[in-house]
Amino acid sequence: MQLKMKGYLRAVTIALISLFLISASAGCAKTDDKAPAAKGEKLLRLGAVKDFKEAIEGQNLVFERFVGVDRKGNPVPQLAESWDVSKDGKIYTFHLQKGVKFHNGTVFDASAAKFAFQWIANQAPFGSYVGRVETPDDNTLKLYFKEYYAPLLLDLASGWTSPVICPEAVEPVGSVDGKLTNFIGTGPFKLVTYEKDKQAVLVRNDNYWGNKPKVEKVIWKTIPDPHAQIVALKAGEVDTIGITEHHSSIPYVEVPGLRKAGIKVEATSYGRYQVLEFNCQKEQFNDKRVRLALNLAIDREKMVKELFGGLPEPAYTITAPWFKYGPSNVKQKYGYDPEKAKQLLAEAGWKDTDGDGILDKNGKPFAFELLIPAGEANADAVAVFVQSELKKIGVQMKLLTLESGAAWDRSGKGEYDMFVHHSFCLPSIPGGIGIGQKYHSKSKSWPAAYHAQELDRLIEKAWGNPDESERKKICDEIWEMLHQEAPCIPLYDIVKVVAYRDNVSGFKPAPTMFDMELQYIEVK
Amino acid sequence: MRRLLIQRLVSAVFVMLIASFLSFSLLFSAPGNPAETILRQQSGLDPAYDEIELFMKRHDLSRPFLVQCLQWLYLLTHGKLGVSLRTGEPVLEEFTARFGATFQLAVAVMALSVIIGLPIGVFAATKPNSLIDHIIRVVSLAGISIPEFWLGLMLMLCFSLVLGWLPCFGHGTVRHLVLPVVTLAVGITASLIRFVRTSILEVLNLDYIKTAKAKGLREVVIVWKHALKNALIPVVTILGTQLGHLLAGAVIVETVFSWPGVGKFFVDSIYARDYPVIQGFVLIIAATYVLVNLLVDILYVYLDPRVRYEGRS
Amino acid sequence: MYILEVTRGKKMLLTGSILIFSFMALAVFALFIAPYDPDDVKVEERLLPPGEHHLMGTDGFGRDIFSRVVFGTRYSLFLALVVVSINLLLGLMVGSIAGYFGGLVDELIMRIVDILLAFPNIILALCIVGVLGPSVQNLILALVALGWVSYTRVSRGLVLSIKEQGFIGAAKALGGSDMYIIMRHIIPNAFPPLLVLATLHVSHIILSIAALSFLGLGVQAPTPEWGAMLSEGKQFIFTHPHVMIFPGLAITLSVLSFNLLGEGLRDVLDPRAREVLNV
Repeated sequence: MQLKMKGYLRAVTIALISLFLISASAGCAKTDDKAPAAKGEKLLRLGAVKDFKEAIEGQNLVFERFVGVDRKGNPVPQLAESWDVSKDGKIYTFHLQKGVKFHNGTVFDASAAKFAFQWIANQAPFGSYVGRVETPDDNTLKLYFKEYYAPLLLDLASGWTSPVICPEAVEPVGSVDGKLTNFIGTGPFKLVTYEKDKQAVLVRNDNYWGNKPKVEKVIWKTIPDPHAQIVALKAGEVDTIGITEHHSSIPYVEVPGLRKAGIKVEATSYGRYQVLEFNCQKEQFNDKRVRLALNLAIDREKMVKELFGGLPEPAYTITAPWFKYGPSNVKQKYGYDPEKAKQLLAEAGWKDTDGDGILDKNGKPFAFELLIPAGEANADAVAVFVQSELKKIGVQMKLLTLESGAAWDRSGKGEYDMFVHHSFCLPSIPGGIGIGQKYHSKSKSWPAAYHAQELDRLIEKAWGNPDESERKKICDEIWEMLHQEAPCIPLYDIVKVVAYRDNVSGFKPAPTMFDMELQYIEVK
Repeated sequence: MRRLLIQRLVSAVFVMLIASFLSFSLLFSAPGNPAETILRQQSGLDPAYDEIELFMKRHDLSRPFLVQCLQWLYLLTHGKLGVSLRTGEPVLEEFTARFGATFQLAVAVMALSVIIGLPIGVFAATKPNSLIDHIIRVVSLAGISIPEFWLGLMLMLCFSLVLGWLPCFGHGTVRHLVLPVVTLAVGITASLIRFVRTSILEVLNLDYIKTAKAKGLREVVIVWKHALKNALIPVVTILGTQLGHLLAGAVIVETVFSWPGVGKFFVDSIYARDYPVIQGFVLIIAATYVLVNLLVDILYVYLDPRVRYEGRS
Repeated sequence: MYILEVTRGKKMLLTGSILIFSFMALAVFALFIAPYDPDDVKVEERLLPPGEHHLMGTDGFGRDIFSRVVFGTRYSLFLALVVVSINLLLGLMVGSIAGYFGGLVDELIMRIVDILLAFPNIILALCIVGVLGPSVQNLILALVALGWVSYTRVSRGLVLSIKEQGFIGAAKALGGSDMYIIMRHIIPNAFPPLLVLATLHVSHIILSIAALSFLGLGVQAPTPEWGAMLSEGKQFIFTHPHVMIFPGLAITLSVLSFNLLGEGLRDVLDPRAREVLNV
């Protein structure tokens, strides 16, 4: 037994050591990514939070869409060279780009386009509006809608729901119900290899019909932790970070440090604001004077300066005024005026009668809870700042952070006093003023947001009518009304921060936060 | 032995099924809708209500709780674990794609802990109450006192950012392995040292060892041959539990070091309410756990001739 | 040899006790020790390095880290002690019942224990905190749901060995009811060794609380709990590491002191109990 024992021990030890060596050498066997690009190969390495196939940004490198949008929200041609819309808005005729091929050589013609559109419509909410789809000739796609659907072009401009895929990209091939299994698109890059949660390698599509990229190869490296990303960038393991994210993954506080380290940092505004939404069904916030007062009590200038080093701009309107249908003509903007805020609250009946520093009305103190979905960028910092600002006018705000799914569950049921989130942005209708969006009473996701019959009527009028100049006028009315009612507290513009090393040049901000314009980028 | 094996395997199947049923029912009753959460994560936009309904319909999510459970069981009897709601890939593939990285980490951590912890523990036990024993004891106590996630971040700060010696993320080379392995190994090595030390000390006090000593056997032989054998039982136990936990995914460390393993994907799936992934992973994790424990029990028999498993242990 | 062990055990016991006593003092007299209000936001003074005015510097909101660490002792120690006491009592009860009655009851209880042990902790914590919302009570609930099983296991083992001893048979022969025997003989005899386990477990629970809070599942952000402080400070780790270093050290030190106490207690305890605790 003792002898056996000894042998056994030895065996265990040897097994353990060899396992250790195997696991270590299994690692060594793989290629060292740190090695510089081979002989003048123009390689760009992206550090990304998400896995390649799970990120819209990744898909947008491989797939294109029928239409795109510019920064303001005007539809622009992509695979559809141009389009005509019938007067009642129910018939769309897309004139397709000629000479476009998918990565596998399949020609992008009307029948391929029809497949792609039907595949999209099958999983998009607008699918139920679609009637016939016709292909009068090789380069024309004609869509007949049962009803007018205003956001169609914006929906088609969304990379997530509307990639133009090749019939061979799905399983079973050519099925409009098929599952997307192969990344075969028409975009500027072809997917070569993909390792889940690790990396994806893409090469330039030399047959690309549009503006050909200058880099030849792109490696997408998944690095979920933002701090690890920064270290990787500084160490030269990736060339750029932040570009693959629609939400800024780079903490704003890191920006000065990055710049000091010789890293270039670009911050681009996409008109997406961080917003505190009131629950307008709660008694406290059922009064527009109170909502306005809270809006005036926050020194946004100081907030962005102290918390974020002045990187993002403070927000004084519900959504960015420069959007096509944005609140550009609004007179009522939310500045910083604590005296006026106190006065408004007093008018609404909130006074500090018991001298405890907190306003009260009918014996009840002005106290409420801010609901924060965990992971909402910068929300914790902003919440604590707002908390201290409101304390100064005698309003007590408590904070409650819930795991994101649970928090959104509550918002959908209207179970909150105030909720922090970020506003709608392109390619959907900015500001949540579409039918069924945040401020329309039909919105099932926002039952406790500000709703009014008059507002519903205006929204339906604006988005039920194909006449665009008319729509702009009605939108101005909507914004005027909303700003007077102060349904939320817009805080600041969430900028997308992109950082890159000095060997990268030609960075250009893309029109939406979901795109990357890698075409112009050069790597030395 | 065979009876034991069968008995254990049957109960293992039960434990696995109930654990995965429990996890599903718990998450099902938890607030948060998979459709809404996944759509928000993927699109980066607030999903419209129509979109949510469409997604739920496409994935059979609006069916009643029991129907969904039965569906899952039905799939299971056909050897399938279903498809992830989030990625659209089969759950088993999602698991196998990531298990390699987790396994590599777990094995490296165990190996390092044993290689360092075992000799030090034995050494400390041979010199009880000496200064060096004292130091080993206090240091190992400190080792089990450090929060893992904090240690990981501190090591990253020190060796990646300040010194720039080691990469702080990624997977592939030995260099990538160092920081996560060290982070995890500190606690395990420390507790291993403590266990080895105490159990050997105890064995050294047993009569037959004293007899051996009296007979004039050399101390080295006594310790390494006689004492260690008996001391290995508690050691195997602790290694078994630790291995089980490591294979279930060292969630925080995998997150901190962006290690592409099971743990991180699993937690992300919980946040996304990706029911099939959670059920499947719990099933597999429970299976690994039970399996490792079973192996430990079998090892007992070899290590300690007194253990025979006649009845229930 | 045992005498030596005992004196050294006493040394550990002493060090641990002194440290724990200091932490308790910090918790009780936090109001007098902390130089600043731990929740006082002063964004103008954010992220100051450790120095004359702020011993450990300030955090992302200009709050004094030293004051927050001092107030943090309240949460960590209080929570850990509450959780461990509940776990201990619950585990002891269930484990005694399982061990004493054996048979079907034992089988049933031990299968439940098996399921819970094979169940990934994080799901349970996430569900409890997710369903009920993150609060101190729910954190306690989650840690109890996760923790009582190990006490059940150990106490069952202890009870099994106690049951074999003569006085239990004697008590039975004298016609004592099962409940009486459990309460009067089994639990008092199983309790002392479990107490040592509990002391060592306090440190484990402190670590769990910190980890859950770090993941956002525990004590919530503005509260000066150490794990929550680390979670808040994580974004500053590379730019202002002092925000991360001190709360982490506080956790390590408090855990270490309970470990020293538990280790010391175990050394001075009788060898029979040590044997049970080791396995």
